Amino acid sequence: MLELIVILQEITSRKVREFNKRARGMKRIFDRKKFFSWINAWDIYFIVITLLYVIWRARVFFDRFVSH
Amino acid sequence: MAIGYPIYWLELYVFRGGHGKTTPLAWIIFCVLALIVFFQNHPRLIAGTRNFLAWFAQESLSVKLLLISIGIGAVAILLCAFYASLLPPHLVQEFDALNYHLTLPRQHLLRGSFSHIPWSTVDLFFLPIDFALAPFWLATLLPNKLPQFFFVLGLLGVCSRLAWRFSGGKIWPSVLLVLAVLGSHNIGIQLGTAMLDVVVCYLFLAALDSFLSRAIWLGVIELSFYVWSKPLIPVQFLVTLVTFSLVWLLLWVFGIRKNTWVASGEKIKEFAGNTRCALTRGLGLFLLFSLFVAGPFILKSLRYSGTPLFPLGVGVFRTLSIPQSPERWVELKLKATQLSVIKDQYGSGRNLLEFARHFWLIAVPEKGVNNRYDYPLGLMYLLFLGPFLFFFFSSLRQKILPLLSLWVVVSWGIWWLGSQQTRFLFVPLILMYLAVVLSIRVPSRVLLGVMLGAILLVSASVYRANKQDLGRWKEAVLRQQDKELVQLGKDNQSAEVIKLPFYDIAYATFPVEVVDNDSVFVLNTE
Repeated sequence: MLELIVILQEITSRKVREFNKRARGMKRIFDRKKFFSWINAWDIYFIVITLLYVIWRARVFFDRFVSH
Repeated sequence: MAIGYPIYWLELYVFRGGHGKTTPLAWIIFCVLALIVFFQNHPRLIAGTRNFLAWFAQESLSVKLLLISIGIGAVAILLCAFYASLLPPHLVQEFDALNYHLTLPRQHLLRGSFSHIPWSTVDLFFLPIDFALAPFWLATLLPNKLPQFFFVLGLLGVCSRLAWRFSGGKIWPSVLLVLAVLGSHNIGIQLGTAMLDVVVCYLFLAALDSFLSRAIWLGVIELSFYVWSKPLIPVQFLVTLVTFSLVWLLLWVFGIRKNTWVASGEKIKEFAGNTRCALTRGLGLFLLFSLFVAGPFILKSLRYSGTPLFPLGVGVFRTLSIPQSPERWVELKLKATQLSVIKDQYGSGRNLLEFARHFWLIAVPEKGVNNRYDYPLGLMYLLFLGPFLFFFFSSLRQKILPLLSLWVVVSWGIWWLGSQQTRFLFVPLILMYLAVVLSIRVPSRVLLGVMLGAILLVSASVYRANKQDLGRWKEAVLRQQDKELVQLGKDNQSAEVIKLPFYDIAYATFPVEVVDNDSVFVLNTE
């Protein structure tokens, strides 16, 4: 009986550990999802357009620099 | 405008200060009226500041930091513009001011007459804004451009008020609109200069605000000065108005009539009660006031070039003009053609591919700092373009007609078919910003971050445009030619006409006749 209780305890603690492990993983995924939900579709547009603009400005600047 | 314009006529025919200078009367009246308006409105200003501070305090730390950073960039632009506006006009981009904005009102003062200056092509243009601001520009020892800086502040104030009004008293739209205007490259680069595009833009938006506030008289004054500010603006305004009405009708016929909004969420019925009566009354007053503002210029243009709208249609009403030699008519037609050629030098064609390409190309510099459309609009315009097009077309899909956005689309189309010079895009650009900020409830941190980037880029451009003048003052900044003109004015105190081979003579304190110059701005008087 005692042996059975020990086995059950071990199984339970393993389950708890697994549960905790899974919960930590979930939290990480949740955090990542929160990060993605923070950036919406319009934000992606703003970032892409800014990058394109900066690249263009840099190209014009270096063209001028080289031509001088 | 309302102060300066009548005072100019008094300076011309009554006060006659001499040496092309004006009395400080216009400044005195302006300061007194500004103080009265300030004291009348200071409780509202204090309440507004309190509201703004309370709103700012409730924002998160990251948003506060972003707003403070953007605010620092905006203040840097305004400080740079203020410093530049204290200097006399001398920059390359101030050529129009040196060429005619300042020169012609001053030459008329020196001649003591409004009669046509025979060598000047531009003297046949509409110049009511130039005349209205001349008593302020010419009141100092060297001409100043401080009035333009007040118009910048006025433009920001009107933008903030329009966004506040359309959004039903929310603060975010006002803040975003003011920052978007300051962060636009084409607007930022004009701040502190003697150019008049910001003034013209202010007049349109102020007229809109005044009509919405039922300040009809004020709206009429602003609209009259806007419509008659340049020769092509009355035509452009009329064409835009007619096309706007036709497109509205067309969309109505095609079934887009579920709802008509002035701006996002603002139904036209809520505005119609206020504005319909105001518009009817305003139209009558506008026609009456236009006689006073544009009448003298229309008569002059008719009398000397046979058209009320020089350079359009030279000689059409030749019977109403004074007798002139056939050579003079040929010369007038030649200069009118050359002026229209200058107008067509901007842009890159009008086919479908160029139409698609121009949305990007007007935003960016190509060679050096400018592009084929003159000044680039910059990053801020690109940030707002996508949301604007999305909101406009999604409204139409939902059978909702947003009038403000429709006005932007129509006036943008007419601009593209017309001059293609970005300086004429100020009004549609700001209205586009307005339409977008009204659709944003709370801006994301990413949007604030990229707006910060846009403002920093503009502040760097404004600094670069003015850095050579830092630490210099008064005559030290002038071009060599202008220094010589100032010296010539000191040596020559008589009122005799002096012949010169160049026409950008804003610093001449004596009457000038321009000779031996084939420029489009000079009429051959032989």
